[in-house]
Amino acid sequence: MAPSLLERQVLRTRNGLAYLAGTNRPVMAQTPRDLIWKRDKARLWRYRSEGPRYRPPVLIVHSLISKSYVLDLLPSTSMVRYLVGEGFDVFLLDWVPPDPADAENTLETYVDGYIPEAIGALLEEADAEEVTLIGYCFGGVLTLLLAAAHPELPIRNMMVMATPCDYREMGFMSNMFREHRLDPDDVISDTGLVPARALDEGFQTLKPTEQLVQTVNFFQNLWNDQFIEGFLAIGYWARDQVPFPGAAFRQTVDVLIRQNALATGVIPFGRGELHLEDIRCPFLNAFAEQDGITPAASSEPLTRLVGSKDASELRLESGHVGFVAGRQAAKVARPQIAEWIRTRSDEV
Amino acid sequence: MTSLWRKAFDAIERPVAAGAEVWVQSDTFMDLAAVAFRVQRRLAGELQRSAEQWLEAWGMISRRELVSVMNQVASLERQVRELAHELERRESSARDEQAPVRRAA
Repeated sequence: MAPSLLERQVLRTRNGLAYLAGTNRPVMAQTPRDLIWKRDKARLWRYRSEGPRYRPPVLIVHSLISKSYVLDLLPSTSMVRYLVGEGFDVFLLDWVPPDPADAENTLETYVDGYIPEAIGALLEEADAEEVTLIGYCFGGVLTLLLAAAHPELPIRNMMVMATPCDYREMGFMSNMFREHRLDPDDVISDTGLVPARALDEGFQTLKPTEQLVQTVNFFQNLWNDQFIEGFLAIGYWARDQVPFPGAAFRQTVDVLIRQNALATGVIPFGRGELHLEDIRCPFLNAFAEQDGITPAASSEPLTRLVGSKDASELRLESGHVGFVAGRQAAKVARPQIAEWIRTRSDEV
Repeated sequence: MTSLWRKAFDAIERPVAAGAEVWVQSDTFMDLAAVAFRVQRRLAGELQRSAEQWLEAWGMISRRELVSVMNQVASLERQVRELAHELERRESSARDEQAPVRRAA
């Protein structure tokens, strides 16, 4: 039953005071996990489960431009908690925010170095022979490059979520780096990194009135504990940006934005080039219709560019973050994602 | 039920937001934003250089010197990483070479 007007005012006062005192900050990333491998800033986590019911294990490769706790934001909306509950053996490849020592990391550093090594550690830890790969956002770009560059890796299935492909459709964040506008070095600081602040400002520019609307939503729903918990968690994560290694950023601008190489299916990489059609494993391209960061039009072409005979797409009615942390996604998207993986896995 | 004040807010905010979002994605805005960004960066750089010269004139540590030390430390860290990786590779290949010999013995 909805609270009365008076009860709402009392709840508003209580939650408002707690907010001002900073005591109602939600506890995030609560799903128990163990660190099983690390190298430099790469960390491989395994989520605890009561014995997985499906094989191969699932490896989520997180993006380089945000923090991974969005995948385990709150217990009620946690993507990894859901997958663990569905009987999957879930691993997360995460990145500690880079510092100047990582400024010279290129995309090859991740694709030819950290990720294959992490997969090796995962196979040993889980005593498995194959892996199901999931890439979220820019993590999806890394997994695409990985699968195309390393056909020898035992990737059984592959799924990308909210992953950009056609950078002409990416709007402001990509178009600011077209020729004659900004060069990568305009935003790379003297430490060799793109500061977290620059990324935050870019995201905020996409929706100029968003801050105001969020503030109004907050005060309107201040009486609602469940809303406030989700609101504060997503708000905290959205402002908790990370720097981006300068060398990888130069490559992103040159190859992915200016040459729009992913959309052509042929990507200059290392000393040669990669072909997306070399990705032959079952492939799912999941994207969100209301995604303002990676618009659906940018992700769409991937399904036809990979060489897999079992390539399909999943369109979801949500935004970029709601996709992995929203209540609606928890009810609609995740069961479909879990079903896709389950039908391409073996029961233990 | 949506309250009256919220309806009024949405009635103003939605068309403003729609217009602003289209404007942000326009070539004109992005060209202007790029120029503004470069000018701001240049001005900030000039200000910082002046402040650093002043600090250095008084024998104090400037940000430029700190960043320079940080970058030197970062460069050393990268070299240590490369050496550690190389060492691991050599140990791994040495193990692989020894394994058949042991099996044969």
